[in-house]
Amino acid sequence: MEKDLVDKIRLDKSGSFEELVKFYQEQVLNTCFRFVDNKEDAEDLAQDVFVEVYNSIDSFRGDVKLSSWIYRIAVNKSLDFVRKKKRKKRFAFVLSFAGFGDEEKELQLPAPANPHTDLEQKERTQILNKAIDLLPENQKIAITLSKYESFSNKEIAEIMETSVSAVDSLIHRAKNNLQKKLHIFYEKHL
Amino acid sequence: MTRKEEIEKEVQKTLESFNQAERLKSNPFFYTQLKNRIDNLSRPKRKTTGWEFAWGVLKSVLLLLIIALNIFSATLFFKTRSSNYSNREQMLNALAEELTLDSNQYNPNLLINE
Repeated sequence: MEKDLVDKIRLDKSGSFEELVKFYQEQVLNTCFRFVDNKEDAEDLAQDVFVEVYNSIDSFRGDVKLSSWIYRIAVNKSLDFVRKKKRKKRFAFVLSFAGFGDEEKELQLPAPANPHTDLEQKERTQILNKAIDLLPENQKIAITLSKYESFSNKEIAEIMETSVSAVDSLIHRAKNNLQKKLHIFYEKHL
Repeated sequence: MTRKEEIEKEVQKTLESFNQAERLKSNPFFYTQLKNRIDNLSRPKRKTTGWEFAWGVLKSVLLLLIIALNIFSATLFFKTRSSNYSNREQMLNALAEELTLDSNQYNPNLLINE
């Protein structure tokens, strides 16, 4: 089915391309959103992804699934965006301590208003996202695609251009690191 | 419940947020906006006319000419000044002569005595 779609797009870009966009747009949008954490930025990035798909569909060799190829573009574009944003921030606060040893960075969030009451779900998600943001890039990609977007480890391996065992290990390490970071956070704020 | 258990419970609850994450719905005009963008990108860019190109070149040449003239006149000015007056004293004497001043005329004590 995918091969037919690619062939159709190569022959007649307009009609079949619309079909492709409508099929993948939501998943691409959400994949971008997981990394940039902002709806407007995610929409812009999703558009960039499909512009690139449109321009380079002729160079798609078909050695991976079309979906993996599209999500790979989405992940790369999102990470580039995040890197640029961080660079801008670092430049603005050039004298701050930003950028020291990502691995050991501690999760810092404002303490909950009332530590004795249950944290709101939204706040929990925010804490989790901040903790994911502190993970090394590969672990961050693997855990985000696996847990938020429910991609299989095989699909993640295709997107990340690595082996399935490497993805298993990345997810395992990401989970451990997340637990550690969250423990430290709650020890301080509970 | 001990503090350790409480922390563990919070960590687990936070990790469960993976399953409750908000999912975005795509904008109904997504494809229309995308199509416009692609059409704009693939539209051939308007070629610059010969006059526009010539004016662009002329502007750059004029700018370079002004810079070169400035450098030339500055070099000439400093060169003339340093060759005419080898030291500060010579220059002051020359200025005094030009303004017909002698040592009495700029001695303020003489004015007071008078």
